[in-house]
Amino acid sequence: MDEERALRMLQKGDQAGLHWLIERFTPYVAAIIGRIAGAYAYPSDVEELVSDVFVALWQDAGRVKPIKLRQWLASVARHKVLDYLRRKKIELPLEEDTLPWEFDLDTRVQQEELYGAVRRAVMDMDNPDREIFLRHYYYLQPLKDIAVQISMKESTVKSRLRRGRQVLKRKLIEGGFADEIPDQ
Amino acid sequence: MKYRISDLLENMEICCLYEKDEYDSSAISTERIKEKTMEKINNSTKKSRPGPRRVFLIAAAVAVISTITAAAVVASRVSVRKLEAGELLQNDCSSFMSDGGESVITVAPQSEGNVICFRPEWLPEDAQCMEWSCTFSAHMPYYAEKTGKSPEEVMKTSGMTQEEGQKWYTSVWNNPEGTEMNSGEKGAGRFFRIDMFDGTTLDEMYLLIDREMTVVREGELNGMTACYMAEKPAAEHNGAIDASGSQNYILLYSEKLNCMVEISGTLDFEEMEKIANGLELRKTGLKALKGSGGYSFIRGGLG
Repeated sequence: MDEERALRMLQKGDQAGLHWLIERFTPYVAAIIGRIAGAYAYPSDVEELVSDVFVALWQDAGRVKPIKLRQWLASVARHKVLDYLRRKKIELPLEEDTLPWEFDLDTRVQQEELYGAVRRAVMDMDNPDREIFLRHYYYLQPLKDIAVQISMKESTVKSRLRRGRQVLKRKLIEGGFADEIPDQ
Repeated sequence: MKYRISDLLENMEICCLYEKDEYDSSAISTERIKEKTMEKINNSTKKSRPGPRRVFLIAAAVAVISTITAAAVVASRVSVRKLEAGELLQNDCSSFMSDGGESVITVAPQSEGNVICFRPEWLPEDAQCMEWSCTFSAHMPYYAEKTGKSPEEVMKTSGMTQEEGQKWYTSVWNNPEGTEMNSGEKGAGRFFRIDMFDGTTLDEMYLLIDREMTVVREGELNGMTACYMAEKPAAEHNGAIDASGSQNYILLYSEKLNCMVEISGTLDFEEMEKIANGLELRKTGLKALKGSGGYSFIRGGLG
């Protein structure tokens, strides 16, 4: 069995394919949900969210490309856990994330271009700046937790995060998405 | 439009992220996940008709296209037939075991084709775009790697600048790094997709669809032959009601550029026509990758 074959079985309504994928990807999906939900969710809540991801996979199997399966699972897992936190009214404060950046985008195409530019800018960051940036803004991890995880002072994490934001702002301005993005 | 930084990363691909395993998942039981998942699936299935439906008519619809457009060119390349139960469609990348009765379209081999890009002039703001496309620029590193050329040389051959390449899109079915993922979830609201099939992707391509379709009408849009298709109401998938609703499809065939564009989703035909009429296609100077020609695209039956 491999991922492509398991997905094919899913698409034909064969539950054995789903069971195989659950066996294989539960740790992966649970890790993404667990990283974001952290201390805010009991293991039973994490299990509920993980099962929701696999239900979505079952129902959407026809639209999932085998080579993008891991990415699809990650994206759906992140949506599920963020929705869970919103329902629980749990807010994870992020640095400079209270006042949104404003872009004058008229079309969906421009919006997609913005996402692409953000992706490229983040991927161009050097580590550990990129890791810090993603830990904080993708996994919503508090600075003090990141500092512990990567054995760095919290103040250093904060300054590297600021540097990441500045790089992102500069590249988005250079890309023509905004004339300026003021600091908050 | 306002964005939080965390929102801007929403479409980030996990393959780009660090993957250190810091979460202790030992308390998570795979067996319980299976039980919960099956319970939820069974609960949703009770509300729908039993058993999956598998009707594949897109092939017939494409055959309609072939008869109304440049018949001498297209019809000779396209054949449609019914599969028999147990019949196996297979190539180097994938395989599909038939339950019997599905239609399959086979496009006769085309040795050449160019990478075709598209650029929509209008897209609906209130619908989710679910795409497997990426910008032409983002596809270039993969193309360069596959052809053993430098990205600069590839861009030069394409006839596009890097800046232009960021404004044009192409569907790259077998590029794991360049494709945008389908990040949508069912029930999230209205959605649509635009898919491009270039010459070599059409090469021996099988098109099947896991839904019951009817051909609504044929015509011409934006200089291309168009075939309108609609799913029958209350479409099901794997026995569960599709919360996203029935989908419409418009297939556009451009004889001039040797490519097919598929617009699909829950939009109505008027909106799809607006997308089609605003769609700009551009033939690049790059030969389509041979690899894509070996890829069987079986919608709904197989990735």
